[in-house]
Amino acid sequence: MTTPLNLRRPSGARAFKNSLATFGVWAAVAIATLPLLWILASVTIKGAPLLFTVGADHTIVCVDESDLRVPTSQCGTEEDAKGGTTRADGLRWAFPSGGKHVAVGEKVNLYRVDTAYPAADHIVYVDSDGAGEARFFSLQWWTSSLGNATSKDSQGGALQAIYGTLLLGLLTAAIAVPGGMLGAIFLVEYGRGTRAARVVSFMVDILTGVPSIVAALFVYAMFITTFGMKRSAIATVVALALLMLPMVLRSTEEMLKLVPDSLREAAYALGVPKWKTILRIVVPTSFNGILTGVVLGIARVMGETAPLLILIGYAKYLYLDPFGDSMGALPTMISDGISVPDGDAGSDRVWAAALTLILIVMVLNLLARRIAAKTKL
Amino acid sequence: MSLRILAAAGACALLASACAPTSSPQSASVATRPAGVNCPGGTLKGEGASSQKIFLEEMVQAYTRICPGTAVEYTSSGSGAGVKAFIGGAVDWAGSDSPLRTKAKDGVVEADQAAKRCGGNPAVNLPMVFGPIAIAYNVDGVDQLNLSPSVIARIFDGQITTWNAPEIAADNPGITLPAADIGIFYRADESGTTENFTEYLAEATDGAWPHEPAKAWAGSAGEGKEKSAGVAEGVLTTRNSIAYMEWGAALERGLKVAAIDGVTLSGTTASAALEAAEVTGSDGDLRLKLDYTPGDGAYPAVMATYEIVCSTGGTNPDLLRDFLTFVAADQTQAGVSTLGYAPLPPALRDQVAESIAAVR
Repeated sequence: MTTPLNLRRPSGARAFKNSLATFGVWAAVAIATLPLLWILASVTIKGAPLLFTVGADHTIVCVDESDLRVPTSQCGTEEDAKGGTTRADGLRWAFPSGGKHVAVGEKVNLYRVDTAYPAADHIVYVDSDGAGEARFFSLQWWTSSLGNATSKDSQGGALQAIYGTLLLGLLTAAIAVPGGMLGAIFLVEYGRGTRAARVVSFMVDILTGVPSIVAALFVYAMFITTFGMKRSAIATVVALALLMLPMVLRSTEEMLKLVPDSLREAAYALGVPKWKTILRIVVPTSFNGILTGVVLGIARVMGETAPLLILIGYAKYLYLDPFGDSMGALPTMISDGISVPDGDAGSDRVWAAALTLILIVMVLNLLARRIAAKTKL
Repeated sequence: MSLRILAAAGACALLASACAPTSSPQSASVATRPAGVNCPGGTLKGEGASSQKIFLEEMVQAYTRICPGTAVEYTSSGSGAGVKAFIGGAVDWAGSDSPLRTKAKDGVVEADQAAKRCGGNPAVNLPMVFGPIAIAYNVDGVDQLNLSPSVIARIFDGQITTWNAPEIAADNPGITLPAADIGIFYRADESGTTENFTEYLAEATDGAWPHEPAKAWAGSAGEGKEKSAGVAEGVLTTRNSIAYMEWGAALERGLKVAAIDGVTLSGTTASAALEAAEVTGSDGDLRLKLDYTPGDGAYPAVMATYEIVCSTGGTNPDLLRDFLTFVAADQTQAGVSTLGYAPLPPALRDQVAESIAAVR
């Protein structure tokens, strides 16, 4: 005797459980997607303008004795501002930098603000009463390094950080990709089922779980404390490679496992030696998948901050030498600028650096997807 | 993104005259080169105290404008990290809120380690700028607040807990303070500012501050925040709160700053306190002993920030000497009070210049 299937809509406690499960699933979906959208939206809104514009070097506004902004025309014309700043009636000219200006009646923060007509390219005479911002089209973000720009200056790009991030990513790949691929080939082609493979596999699992700061400390202890070397981009690359190696190894291993044994057997039957089978048959078959893993690995290490904080000095100027002891990078540019108060040009740079990092990682991810879509396995 | 573009375009439309470059570079403030600055060129690297960051940022910009093609890097990772990097030879100079220790701590003497790094020559501490410590507060409707040192000590120790306490009222006749709890922020990280502030409290109050001066905050009341920026943001966003911080951090955010014993904080009042500072180092080393009870018209809570350099045998001495000469020059020091710092008093500046000239 079997109970007949109940095909009616559930009711009572079962209906409640059912809708609870539905709600849980949708809540999980929201939790998984909304923060990402929020992050993307806020970073884009705050960071995007700097990628293709630059704020005015200075604005010209008029303030009274208690630093409140009054309509600019009360102080006079732009020509008056060039002439001098001393005025009898207590009003005075101020030249805040960065292009942002507050509305009439609000307090102007005169900290580190020029009191004489400044020497700069983009000086904007503010004749509107509202708050606003003056920006000019410019690609200086991509073409110049931060250099000697202060946190109040609107000029100053991120070339040194973009270069540093890309260089560190590429050098890390140069170390981690061969190592990871050879390890995976060993696991799949040579050591399958052996004790050695199990040990290696176990070690790789452990290495996957090593936090980036621990990897950095290991390199610091070994290269800098023990061998007395200086901090350098190469030391950073070694630490990053430790993080990337297991990622590449695991993804390569999975891809190699997907290659059907019949292909290998066919090659052996034709008298092809094992190394040539691997090089000409197995790896090319799974090449697209391997490449996807590599690109994702690079994208992952580019965002790492901890090893950079410990193993390399942050630089504001562009140094091309990978053996030097300072180099800019986008994550450290963000951490360096985080103390700048909101509203200063320097705090916009933090958001723009974050957006640039997201863009680079996103381009790499899309690239990986394109490659993966072409995989014919 | 498109919203933002629209906003930018809107701003352009508002400032019709603004969207084309309106003026060419003016010749107004082409800085002149102070005497003794020769621009040898190259790359100079320093690391250390975050309290000097804004000061050095401006100095570096001014110096590299005079000496194009020179690069000066300063990483603000904290006094301790800076001294470590200097001893390890990673940077040419360190910025620090306290001079190198001459007493052993954990079995090492910083000054000896630094001497080793300088090839056996002593490293010298050069006071380069003074940072007044501001007591910033956020109380609606109270634009002027006066506190005596012992009241400050008791507030930060958690003994005075409300703004309308009789002790605070006694310092501020005629001002109505709210019946609200005092929110206290302190530096959660180890900081030279905390060390100097607690040193001041310990010396200026007769036992009202019960703790030993140290880089780590010893009080039990309040909430810790990371770095000056964290503390300053805390005061900015929390009503009825108070905190100590570098003056620059308060100015940067437009925070209200309390007077101490009736002396308001300004470049002049802070400089007045420095006249009484006493040099205790020798042979070019200019470590200072500050006087925390300087008397009338002087703002007492100040801290010296040092540049630590090799007297001889360091890396990159020519550029280092040149840069520091520029920083210590009369005309450069004249502008530092707009950055929230107090300039070197003239007598001390001459000594500093002498020490810098001896750097080889």
